[in-house]
Amino acid sequence: MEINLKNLKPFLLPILIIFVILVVTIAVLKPKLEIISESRQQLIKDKKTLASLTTKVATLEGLARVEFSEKVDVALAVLPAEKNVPGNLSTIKNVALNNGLIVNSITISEIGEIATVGSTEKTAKNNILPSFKVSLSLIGNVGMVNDFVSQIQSTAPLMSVENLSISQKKTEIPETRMTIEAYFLPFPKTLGKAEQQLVAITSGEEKIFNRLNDFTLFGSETSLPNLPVGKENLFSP
Amino acid sequence: MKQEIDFLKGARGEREKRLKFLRMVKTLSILLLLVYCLVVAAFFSYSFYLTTSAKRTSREITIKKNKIEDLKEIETLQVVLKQRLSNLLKFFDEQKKADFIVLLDYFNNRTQNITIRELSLSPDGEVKFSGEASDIVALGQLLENLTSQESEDFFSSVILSSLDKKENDVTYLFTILLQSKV
Repeated sequence: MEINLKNLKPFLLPILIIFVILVVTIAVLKPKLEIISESRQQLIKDKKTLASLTTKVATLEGLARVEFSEKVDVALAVLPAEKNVPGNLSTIKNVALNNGLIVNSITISEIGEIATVGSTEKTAKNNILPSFKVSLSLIGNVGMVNDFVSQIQSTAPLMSVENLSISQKKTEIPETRMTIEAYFLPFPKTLGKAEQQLVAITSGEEKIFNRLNDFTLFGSETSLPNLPVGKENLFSP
Repeated sequence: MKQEIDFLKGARGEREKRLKFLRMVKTLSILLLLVYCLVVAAFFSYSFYLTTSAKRTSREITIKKNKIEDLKEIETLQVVLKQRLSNLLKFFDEQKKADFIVLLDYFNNRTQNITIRELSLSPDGEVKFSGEASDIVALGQLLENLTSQESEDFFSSVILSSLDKKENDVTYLFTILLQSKV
């Protein structure tokens, strides 16, 4: 069978168009389509991230820095970031003195690492807050001990009386032996990702803060005393 | 009357039909090309829009991240406060220890004519109370107090563990074991 090329000439343009369409589709559009699909997915993801960041910025801008700073100061006074042995001892001594009790002895056990600021500090089983124990012996009557227990549990840093035993020999003033648990909580290790939303403080936590606000704060006695250094005026008598 | 006979009528009709078909194929193919060009243009426009949007979003993300970095101090304060308050909330919620203040107050106010020899309070509410009653009346009063309706709010059980009367003396030595409810 003989094919007359002259008869096919009018079909050249449509064939050429279809050929161009096919070539452009396979060589250009198909790879581009995959790129577009990926870009679209990425854009959706980025827009979500942006929305999340915008919300976070708005939340952060809405927080009053001074107010938060004051609140953190109170929270850190009540629950220090590390074992504040001198602070705890100073508070125990002050509260005992305030209530007319004589501190007979103080023993600190299970202190472990002193400088523990990271959150790797292990808490005892079933314990929410890491702690160390302070055993003490006080001399004074039951009423004074009662006031001491009441005050020590509402004074910063946070402590709780674990057990208590009062004994009295015939004519002596009662001696009270008690074990106090002193609590602390290391700082969180990281702040989390930038796009991670801030977890708002709940009303229950606000109530806890109000409770912390009522804690008595004794001035720290751990600061170094002001000792004269050298002689200010060498010519003074 | 002159009549004409067209011998090519059939062939001409077929040629016209063919020409019409070819014109239609040509028109359709051009139309197809035009539509395809429009599709390609739309395709590239969308691609351009995506690229521009991605760049803009990325720029905005950087700006927001920088802003968050500037607000890092307040974020730190918030995170630290939240960490402390949430842990303290759990801590206070799970504090189920016996209330030593209430118990000490109870023994301080309801032990007239009694000398406390030993008073032990444990967190699980076990109370050991040893003392010396000046006479049988004081002891009776103490036991009455401990078993009264009012004391039921404080103790779930009251057990007189031991009772001794000293020779040639009116005083009584006793030990009472109690289980606190408070």
